[in-house]
Amino acid sequence: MASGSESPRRRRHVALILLAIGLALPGYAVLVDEPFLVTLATRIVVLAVAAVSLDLILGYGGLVSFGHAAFVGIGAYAVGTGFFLDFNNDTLLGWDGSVDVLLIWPLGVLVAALVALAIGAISLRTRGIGFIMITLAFAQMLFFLVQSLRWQGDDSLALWGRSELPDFTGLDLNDTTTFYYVALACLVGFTWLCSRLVDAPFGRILQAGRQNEKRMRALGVAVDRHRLAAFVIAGAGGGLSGVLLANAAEFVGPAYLAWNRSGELIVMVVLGGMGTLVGPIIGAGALVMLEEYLAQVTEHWQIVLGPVLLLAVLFARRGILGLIEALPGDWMGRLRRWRARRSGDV
Amino acid sequence: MSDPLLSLRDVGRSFGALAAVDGVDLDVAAGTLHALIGPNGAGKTTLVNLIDGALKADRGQIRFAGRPIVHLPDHARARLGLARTYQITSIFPASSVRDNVLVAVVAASGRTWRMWRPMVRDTAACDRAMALLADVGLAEHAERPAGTLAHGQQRQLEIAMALAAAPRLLLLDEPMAGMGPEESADMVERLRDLKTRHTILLVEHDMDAVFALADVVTVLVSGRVLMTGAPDDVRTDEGVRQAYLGTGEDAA
Repeated sequence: MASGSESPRRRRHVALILLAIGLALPGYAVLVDEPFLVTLATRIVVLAVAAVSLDLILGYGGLVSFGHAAFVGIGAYAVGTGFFLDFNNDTLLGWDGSVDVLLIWPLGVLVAALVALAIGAISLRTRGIGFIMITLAFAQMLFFLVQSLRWQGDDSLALWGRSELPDFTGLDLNDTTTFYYVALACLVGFTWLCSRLVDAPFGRILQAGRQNEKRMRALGVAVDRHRLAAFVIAGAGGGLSGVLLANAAEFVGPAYLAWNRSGELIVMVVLGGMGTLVGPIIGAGALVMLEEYLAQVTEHWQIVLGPVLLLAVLFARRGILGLIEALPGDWMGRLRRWRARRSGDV
Repeated sequence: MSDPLLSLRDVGRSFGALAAVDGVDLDVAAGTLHALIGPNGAGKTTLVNLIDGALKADRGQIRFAGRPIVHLPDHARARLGLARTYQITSIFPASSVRDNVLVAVVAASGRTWRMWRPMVRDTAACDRAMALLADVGLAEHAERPAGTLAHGQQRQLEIAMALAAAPRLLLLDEPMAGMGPEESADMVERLRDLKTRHTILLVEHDMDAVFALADVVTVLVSGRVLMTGAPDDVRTDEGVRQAYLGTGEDAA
């Protein structure tokens, strides 16, 4: 249990170390001449946004949502639709599409949030297995819906480029490193927002409701609406991830909404450490790297991945972050003293 | 005499064929400690659940502070000033002792939608939480996870949480359940202190405690009120003896 103040402090340090790694990564990739690392890191960062957002409802709300990929898909399809209409000079309901980051990205997030509002309002009437199944059912409905879409004959769409930032920024998202840093900024910003949220009264009430709903009601708060709000914010985060994903892969297809994608997001959250925000980022990194490297070793990599996950769940109940926080010795203190000495020198 | 703070008329609730609470009339006057006793299975906890709204009544009227509440959900009744503790301790075990009370204070304030400033930085709420903890003697344990407290301390914590809302009526469901003699004695002192400031409906098995504390005692048997009266009258009533106290006085 996250008791006392030691764990959260370590968690902050872990977050800072991750941020440092994230910032330094493109430089390292150049150094070792492995440009592919940036692409891989981008994928991790993008999926981490979805994993962090899922943690809000899964870790903090205590509700296993098995349809989170739907919101990722909605964000991606918003980007895809904007591109498609713009490229083909087509219109949909009078909209002629857009590739503008400032328009299409918020739009993707907003639509995902609205759909989350509708799905959440219905799903949150259930608990436990019921909630798992109904969120899965909604995600499957959306999956089959987008599968029936045809972009000039095909059910998926390859984009001819990435969303465009306004000229005054001087940034071109088609540059791999630029896009990576923009995605990283999105992850950092969203995680920071979530960290404020979970420590604020709203988040604490949400967590108290997870621990003991009956007690929360007796204290005068029916947590349903707090859960719905968390679900909507989580959906918006999923949408943000989808917007980034479509741009990262320059591809939009129904696979983004497949149920096993939702499962992978749950695995990231649980593997990294749920209810920690930082954990799911670690989980996203661990899962993507495992997949990447296992796939190089054997094409049957999923056979290896399964037992690895099983071991992780059995022996690291609080995830990878839990292991890090339980590390013996005061290595955080040593780091702090080292920092203090350094700043003392200056 | 003024209207009672809490008033039940013909309140009933059945589970299948079992009438757990069967037409109960009950008046709790403001400023009193009203004890509810009865043998196991008499329907005491069910009645408390009907009052606080955890269960819906099948029939009857419940008025609280002059207004009907029988149609209100539990959380809305809590907002009107009904606070309770449970027979089986109900806290947030993974959170710190202080955060348990802090959440209760925040819930009572209605500011549960604030999304930016950390809850623990709300100094007014923190001060209030610490004051409540000091009242129940738990200030020194504030940083511990609530689940690691001893049983008796968890019960005291529950009372601090119930008091956070400055309730008009405290529903205490067997606060001494599972306590040793020493913890029980502490709790009796706590209740003696509380009754000077709060109206209390106390469900309790410990007869010594009940007769020491109560202003009024209602005896519930098989979901019905057998009698309501002063502790001494109840103690000496032959019907109550037969139905509940058995042959000796200390059935508890």
